[in-house]
Amino acid sequence: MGNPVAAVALLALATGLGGSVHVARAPTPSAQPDCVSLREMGVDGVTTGQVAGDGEVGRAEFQLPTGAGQGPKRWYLVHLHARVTVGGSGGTAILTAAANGKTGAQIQFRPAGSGVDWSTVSASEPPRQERSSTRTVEFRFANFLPLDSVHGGTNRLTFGAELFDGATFDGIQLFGDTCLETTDRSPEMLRAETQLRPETVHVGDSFTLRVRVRNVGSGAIGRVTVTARPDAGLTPVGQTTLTVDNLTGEWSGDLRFTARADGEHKVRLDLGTAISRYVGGDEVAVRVLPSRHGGTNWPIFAGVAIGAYVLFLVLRITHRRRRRPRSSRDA
Amino acid sequence: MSRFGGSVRAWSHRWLLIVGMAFVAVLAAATPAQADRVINGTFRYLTLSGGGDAFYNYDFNSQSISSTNVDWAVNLVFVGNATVPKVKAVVSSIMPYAGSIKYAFVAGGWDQDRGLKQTQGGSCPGGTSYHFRVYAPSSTDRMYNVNYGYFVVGTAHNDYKEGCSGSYAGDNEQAEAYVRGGFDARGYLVVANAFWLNNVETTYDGGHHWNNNGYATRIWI
Repeated sequence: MGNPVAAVALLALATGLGGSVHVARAPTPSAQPDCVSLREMGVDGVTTGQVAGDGEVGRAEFQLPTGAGQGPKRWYLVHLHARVTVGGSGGTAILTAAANGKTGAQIQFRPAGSGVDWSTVSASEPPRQERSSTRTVEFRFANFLPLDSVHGGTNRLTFGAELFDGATFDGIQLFGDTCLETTDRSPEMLRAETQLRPETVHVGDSFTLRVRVRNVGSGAIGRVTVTARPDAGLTPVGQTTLTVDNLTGEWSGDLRFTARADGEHKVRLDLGTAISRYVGGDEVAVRVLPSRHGGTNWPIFAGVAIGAYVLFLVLRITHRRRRRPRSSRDA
Repeated sequence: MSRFGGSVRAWSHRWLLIVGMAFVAVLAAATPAQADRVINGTFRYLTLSGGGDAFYNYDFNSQSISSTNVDWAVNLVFVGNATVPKVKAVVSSIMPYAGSIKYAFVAGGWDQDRGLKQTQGGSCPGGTSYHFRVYAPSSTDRMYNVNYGYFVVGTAHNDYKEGCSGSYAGDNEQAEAYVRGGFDARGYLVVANAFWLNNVETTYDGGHHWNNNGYATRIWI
């Protein structure tokens, strides 16, 4: 597949107090195929000094073919490789990357003593919450850019800093291998269906909830997890979590429950992946009828009733026999 | 016929009738009913797109997902480049107080928030005090969706005359409009009724005035 991203221009800047900027202007090939690096865009990285206010710290421009856009067949990801040094005794410092003003990377840092807590959220990799023992963190991060963030022609990739409650960046370095990837692999897209078997349940019955999951995106999904959370009136039989690895097409799994009480009960299903623990859910209502044993006991009740009636007749006849002589004497 | 004997026969007939009726009743009650289809939920669909994080359309009184444990409907979605602290920072000057802790199930985990509100409860006679809470996973303070970027969700309501005579909680639409106006006034792009979240409420009782239209405001951060 040809690489539709072409580096056409270079422009880098840095803001901040006393910041220094290092820009190398000799484009060099990216290490990753289909990922156009800052170097290929003509920006051999960005280096700043202390950044004490919000603003842009670097930018580059790239060009896409006419008609280009984010999805549904072709997707664009930003790969960020950076090293930051966080200052301040508290607050939050955020490093962002945006395409044409739409944020596609957001790395959050919080000073924690002599170290720093930092986190990422992405549609292409699991969320990270990490702690560095020092104030300097070097990281790589990737994410699908937002929809409507890229278009045919010249596009602008910008990097920014946002600072809250006293946190600062004492330095930011964006490495030249930071790049924009083009791929036909979509973000994870799942569709799920559920079916109850049998369709009629009585107290004491076991039933199966079949879950069918389809990968409707392009590219395998590393791990899909379906977790069932039934109401108290339904008892799981066996596992309540189903997992499937490397889902490419369709997959089905069964969850079994026993109905313990009549009435309407719900089974809640949570659907998650390795990238996002919860990408959706469903509630399946199960209406449970009274126990079949209530129906099968009816001969016992009938027998008791018949027995009581027979006993009544016996007692009545006995009573009459006792009364008859006494009546004769009275007459 | 003696009076006593006549009474015995009358009681015998009554008992016969009673026992017979009981017998019939027992038989009728014990006969299994013919049931129609009794399970709902066959083939329910959920379609997910964009690889985004999911959230419930209500927050909860405790960490228990149940329709009987919900607190307020989600009626605010902050998108683009949002985080929980960033959202709160925008309107903290007009909503400087905190409320009680509530919970939301977001991206597969629980978050909790006291939110921001206009006045503290108990300052009688009191009046309108709009209160909103903002949620995202506590470990990251934001979620991501390819359609809308980094986002967080919120609930808004009015704690009217809280702690005073004539108090109630609710007015969700008015509270949503107040928060929307607060961001609009500070230059943020806001769109009323942008997301259908299927959480309409129009119930009134002595202590609550639920009036959510099921749509959430979208605010670009």
